[in-house]
Amino acid sequence: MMQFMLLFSRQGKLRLQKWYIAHPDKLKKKITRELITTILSRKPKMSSFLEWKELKIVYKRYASLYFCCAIEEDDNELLALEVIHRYVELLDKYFGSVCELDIIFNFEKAYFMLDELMVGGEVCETSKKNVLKAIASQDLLQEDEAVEGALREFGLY
Amino acid sequence: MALRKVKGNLERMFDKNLTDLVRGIRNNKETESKYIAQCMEEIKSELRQDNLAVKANAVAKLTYLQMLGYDISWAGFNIIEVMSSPKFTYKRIGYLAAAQCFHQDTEVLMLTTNMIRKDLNSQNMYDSGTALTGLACFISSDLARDLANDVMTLLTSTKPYLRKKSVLLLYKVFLKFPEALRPAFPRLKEKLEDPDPGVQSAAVNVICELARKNPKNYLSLAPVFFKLMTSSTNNWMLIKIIKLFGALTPLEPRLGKKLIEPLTNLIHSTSAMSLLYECINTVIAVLISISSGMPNHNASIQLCVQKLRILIEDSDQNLKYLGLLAMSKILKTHPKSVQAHKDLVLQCLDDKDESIRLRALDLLYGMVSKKTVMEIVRRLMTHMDRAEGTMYRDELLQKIILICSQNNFQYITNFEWYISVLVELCGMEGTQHGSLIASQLMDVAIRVVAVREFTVGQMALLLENAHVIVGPAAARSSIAEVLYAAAWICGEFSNLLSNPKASLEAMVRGKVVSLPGHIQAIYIHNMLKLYACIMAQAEEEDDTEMIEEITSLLQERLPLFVSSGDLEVQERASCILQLVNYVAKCHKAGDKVGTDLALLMSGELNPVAPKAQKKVPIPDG
Repeated sequence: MMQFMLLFSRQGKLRLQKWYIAHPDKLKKKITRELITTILSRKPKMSSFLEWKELKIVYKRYASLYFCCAIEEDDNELLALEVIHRYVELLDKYFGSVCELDIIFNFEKAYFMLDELMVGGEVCETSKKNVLKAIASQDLLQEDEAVEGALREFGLY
Repeated sequence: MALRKVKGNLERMFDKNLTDLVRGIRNNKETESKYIAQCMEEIKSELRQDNLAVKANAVAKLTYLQMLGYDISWAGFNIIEVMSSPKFTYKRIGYLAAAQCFHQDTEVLMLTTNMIRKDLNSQNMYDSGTALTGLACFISSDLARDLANDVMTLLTSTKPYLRKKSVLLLYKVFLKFPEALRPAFPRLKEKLEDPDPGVQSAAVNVICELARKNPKNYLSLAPVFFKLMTSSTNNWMLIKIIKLFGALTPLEPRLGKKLIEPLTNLIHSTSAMSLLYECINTVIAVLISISSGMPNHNASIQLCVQKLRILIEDSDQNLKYLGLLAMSKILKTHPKSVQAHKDLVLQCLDDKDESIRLRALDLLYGMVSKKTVMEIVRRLMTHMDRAEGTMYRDELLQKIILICSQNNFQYITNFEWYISVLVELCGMEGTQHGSLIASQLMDVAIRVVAVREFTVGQMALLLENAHVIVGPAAARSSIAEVLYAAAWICGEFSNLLSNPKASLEAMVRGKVVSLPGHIQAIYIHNMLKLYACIMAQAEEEDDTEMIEEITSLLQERLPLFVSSGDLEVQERASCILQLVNYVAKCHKAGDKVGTDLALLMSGELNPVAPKAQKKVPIPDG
């Protein structure tokens, strides 16, 4: 099971944090700080895996963002890399050539995308098409509500 | 009423939305904390409004601020308000905030039970889905207990979207409320045959996680999983099933035997690295657990080693790393199969990636044999020369010693060679393993009588060159510890020294006072041993010149130590100085004290086993 996923920039600014184990805030901050420092100090040619406390860390850099997740001792590292890659592909399809700014300004959408891909630290939907379909439907739901709301305001609903 | 509404709308027009907040923070980099403090105030006032849209906007902003490191737990109640909105848009925002900041001990969590239940049972699929996903992040034991049934009901929903999510959530429910497992399990098992492959996969996932914790209870499902494994082409699911089998085979060797063939086929046929890696790992685990003597045994191991070699030779760092990792597992039970690839592992020591080098080092430790130990150590020392000034160099040093000393020096045939290696290692500045080298020197000196003379000679050289060892970098390292060993060995086996007087002079030299206290103390004590040894010899030969020389040498130099800041050094130096003065007095009176002095040092010290103390009977009383 994946315990958490962090996205951060080359300057160490956190862009997304998804925790599948509910730690208290202080512990989350400590873990985040330590891990970001450790990963940013790794050189480009190094492998994507490292052992950290009792967890295995799998990370990969895409453009200016580091995608980093923590899996348990028994989990398959290569599979975790594929999950990260799948997530990036989904974001890319959704935002159309995704860049860091997209994730900064639409961070809640990034979370929603991740929530369709994984539930409780396990992969939920392996089909890219289905994930994007679900996101699109929920976006549509939101739009409908917004239109409805606006119409109500003007007494037209 | 209308006026109030218009006024309210005007005020609301100036509320920052999420984009405004993010942009604002980026535009205020120098005054970020002040700007955010201001935004927080605005958020607090927005949360006091009646309007749910406003509250939702505020909560969305809070979620962003939480990511920047600000505490938002004070807004728990507001978050719940937004979660309970009938509008999907706001509900989603509420659940996101909850997933980000609620945990087991969040007090307001107990207010959410009914609301979440309502959402789980909602007609709107996405309301339900949002609740399921959010719950997976913040579920507590109380929520698990109260909502278990509602989650289980969703297992039979008509929508696969919800069946998938509820299956996965069940795992979290079981973790927080284990009593739910027994009644839920039959329903979970049914999902293994769900018409939707995604739901099947989710069920496999959950059962795999459960089985890893408690494999015994899931052994009966093995046939079901076997069928799934041989019929599925979904790699994600295959990996989970194969991993599950890895957990089950230690309990049922017959299962292992049946698995070898399909796993071997997969290894041959798959192009997915993740699947290949999982299969290899499981084959290794299976072959470790079933007893040898099986006809296919060797062939399967050879296949794995062969495939791992391909991984290690790949230019992709990740594959290299994993290949080496898996090789280490094979090494434990089939060392011969791995030893054939010694050259490849030695090559990996040159890799730019430190984690790969460390993995290769680990492997080498187990690949050593009597014939290869010298060559391997030689290669490692070349690496040490190249790795100057790094932590890695120290790792290498430690590994060299571990390799040589393992199993009571099982692989060392030439101890003189080993002593020279240790002495060469003494030249490595900045090491943190000084005491390790020291203890090795002492170990060999005490236990390997055959090379003792050689060892003592080398140690005498070390003493004379102490100033080279304890160079400028010494402060940061523990290299001085080797002098501890050198002094002790020279003192204890002084009868083997070729020039005891020179060694004594080396010990009393001025620079010694800058060594750590415990080392000085050893020096002083062994000065006495050397003194006694030389004295005994000199008295026999009636060499009064020598006697006077060494006595006055000690009388001159010991006071330096007597005034040391270290108590132990002070004490020993004073004791020995008094002894030397007494000896000088005896000689003035014409008495010979050599043999008596030597008696002080007689008796061989033998190494004592760590458990020996227990064998000493406790005296009565």
